[in-house]
Amino acid sequence: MKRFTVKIGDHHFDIHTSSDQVIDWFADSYHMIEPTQASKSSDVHVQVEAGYGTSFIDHAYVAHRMDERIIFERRDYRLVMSADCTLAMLAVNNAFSLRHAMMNLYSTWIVHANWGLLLHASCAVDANDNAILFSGRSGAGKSTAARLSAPRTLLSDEAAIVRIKDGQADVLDSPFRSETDLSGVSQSHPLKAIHLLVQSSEIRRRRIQPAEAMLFMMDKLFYWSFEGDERRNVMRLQTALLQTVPVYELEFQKNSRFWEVI
Amino acid sequence: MKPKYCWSSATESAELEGTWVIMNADNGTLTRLSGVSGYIWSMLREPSSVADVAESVVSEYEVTIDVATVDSERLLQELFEIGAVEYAS
Repeated sequence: MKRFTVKIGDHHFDIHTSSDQVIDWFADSYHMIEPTQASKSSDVHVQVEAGYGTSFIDHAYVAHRMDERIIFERRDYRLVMSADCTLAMLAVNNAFSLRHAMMNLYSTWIVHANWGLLLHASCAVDANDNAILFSGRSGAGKSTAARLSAPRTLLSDEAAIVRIKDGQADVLDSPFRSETDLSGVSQSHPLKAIHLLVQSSEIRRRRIQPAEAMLFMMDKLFYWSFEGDERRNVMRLQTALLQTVPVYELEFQKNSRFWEVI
Repeated sequence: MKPKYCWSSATESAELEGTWVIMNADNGTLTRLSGVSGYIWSMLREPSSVADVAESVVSEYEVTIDVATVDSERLLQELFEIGAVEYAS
């Protein structure tokens, strides 16, 4: 059994595995920490094995609770978490399954800890070191906005890690990516604005009232909740986020001129 | 005795710039209330009857007690049907 630590957001995940393949998958996408560099004890301990199920077919899943454990099953992975989310056993089919399963685990952990949210969004850093989020319906242009934001630092191209604490929201580098690599920046960036993208022949933005924004944002979360208390935590975090950060609808063309109105 | 209503234990709600968003935590559905409806929702933090609500609405808005009673009763019934309010014990 081999053991190493990966850092996601502010959190250390202690990974145990007997699979060299699993180690390679983590090394490809995550910030690995040498044991001597670990500045704190791990938040979550995860045992990971490969060879589970079939490759990805669809998003159909079953989530249930048994003997104080949370169990999440999809055809390409099985995740079992302790009720406090600090211990997990994960069996995956391939690197794609591992990424989704780790997003699931991480999202569950940060909501449980009342720390923040994993949002379906790309995120770039502006000239003032603020984080600017781009979200929207599937196909709205999150990845396009990320690509068109070069050479700005990208904190995410798919799933943005947002910490919500003491009346402030910050974005941290996300390993949960579809097209780009971890940026490698270690510090967090204050979240200045959230944009819901709409492709258009115009370039303009309008503020969306926070209550209306909450209805839009609820389905922009990576979260697979199945119990009322978890939904309450999500809503409280969303409320704190929307009390802190303005949300805009951004009509944009497929060029970088949208940055002129941000 | 007239029944009193209050926020259901299944709900979580938040006020954002004057508009309330109400979530039914059992099924995740969201409801948005603003204006007089939002004002009535905020009242239901404490157990209130239709008459209590209507009287308070009349004191805050330019509306007759008859209209306020009909509208309050209708809103409370709708909120009751979606599980957002329950009878106060």
